[in-house]
Amino acid sequence: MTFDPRDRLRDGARTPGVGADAHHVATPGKRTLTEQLARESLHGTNTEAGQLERPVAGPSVVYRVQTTIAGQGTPDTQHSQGHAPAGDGADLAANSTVAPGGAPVVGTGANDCVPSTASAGLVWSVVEAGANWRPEVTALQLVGRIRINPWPSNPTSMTVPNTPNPVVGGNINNTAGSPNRWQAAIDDMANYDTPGGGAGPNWHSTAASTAHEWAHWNGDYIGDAVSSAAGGNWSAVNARIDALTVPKTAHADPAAARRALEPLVDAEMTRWRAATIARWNALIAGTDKPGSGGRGYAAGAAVLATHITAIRAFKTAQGW
Amino acid sequence: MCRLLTTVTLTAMLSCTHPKGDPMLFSAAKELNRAIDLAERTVAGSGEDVSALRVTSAVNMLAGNEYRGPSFWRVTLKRRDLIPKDASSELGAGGEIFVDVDLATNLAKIAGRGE
Repeated sequence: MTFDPRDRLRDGARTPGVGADAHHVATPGKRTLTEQLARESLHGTNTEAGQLERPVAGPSVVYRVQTTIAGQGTPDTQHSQGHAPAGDGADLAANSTVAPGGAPVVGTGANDCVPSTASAGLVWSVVEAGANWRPEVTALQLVGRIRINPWPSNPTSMTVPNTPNPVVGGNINNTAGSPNRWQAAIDDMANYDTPGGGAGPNWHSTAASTAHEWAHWNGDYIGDAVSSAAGGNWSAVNARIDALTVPKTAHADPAAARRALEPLVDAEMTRWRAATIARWNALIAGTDKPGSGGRGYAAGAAVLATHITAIRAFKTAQGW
Repeated sequence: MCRLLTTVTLTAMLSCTHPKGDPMLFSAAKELNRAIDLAERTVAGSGEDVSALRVTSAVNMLAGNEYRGPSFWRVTLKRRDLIPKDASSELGAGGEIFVDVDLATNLAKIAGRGE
């Protein structure tokens, strides 16, 4: 199977440049979408020649992912086994700014996050504006890929790599020289967000990896690269697109107006894509290293801090 | 004495070959090459496909807050599929392997992985 994020746009009502199906367009400022696992590289052939990622062995896993983005607040993403609710299809107010929607495909086999801004889909319709026609943006559908590899978890086995389970009969001990000694586990996790740290080698957790990757998507991508003034500045782009006009005297109907507006809309989107990608690349190259202040490592470290606290409490309770 | 002279002569001859196209013979890079070689062997030993990776940084920890000594190197490898060919595509976040190398002991270990 070859995965092209644009296929999902072509298959559904979120076709770039085509009016939106109201069922799929959620309330402004709130988007929901369910996605199915796919594992292929989003870069396609735009990677180093002959170095595309290897297929991942193992059973297929399907995740349901719901990304909810409310206004300018922090996007909240939840995982569940069920279906995310469909959008309510409420009408958009004239000239309203829509929040970015869409969600990454989520899979396993590695720990990474790659947006595909080139494949983001814009949905807009043509509306009357006095003597003119203008575009009305109704959705921006973002696509990308997140992969989260389950970290080994053997809660009752004194082995590594492992996820800490600091309970009696768990996998933390006080044996000098053991990689399962409480201090060794703490040290390994405590250096996660320090230079040369990272996940493991012995102690980590899937929850930390999950927090890390979603911080990339929700914080670095949607919150910053897509939306901030330092990046794509989506709300400003949305407003500029909505402000484009062509005269009714030169374009008799919406279809004709759309043909005239399309290159203008495309030009705005081209600039948005370039600015979004440039910001993302600057963020990842500049901050996505342990100890470099990145959002991903901060989010993962916050989860690991809870493990460390639990180990310390266990150690104290055991009198170690 | 004879062996020493031979070694010196060979070194001189090898050095002379550099202008003909082998940059690896620059002595200034030999520690770096050894560090990367050790890092790659360690990564390969862990079951990783080294051909799917590329070295994105190698830092000699000879000064600063992270001082470990002039024989100590921190080598970072990253999956090639996450590295776009140009700036019109996104750099993938994650996929790194951090390797600590000590040339004084010829020991290297995977210190952690990027996400």
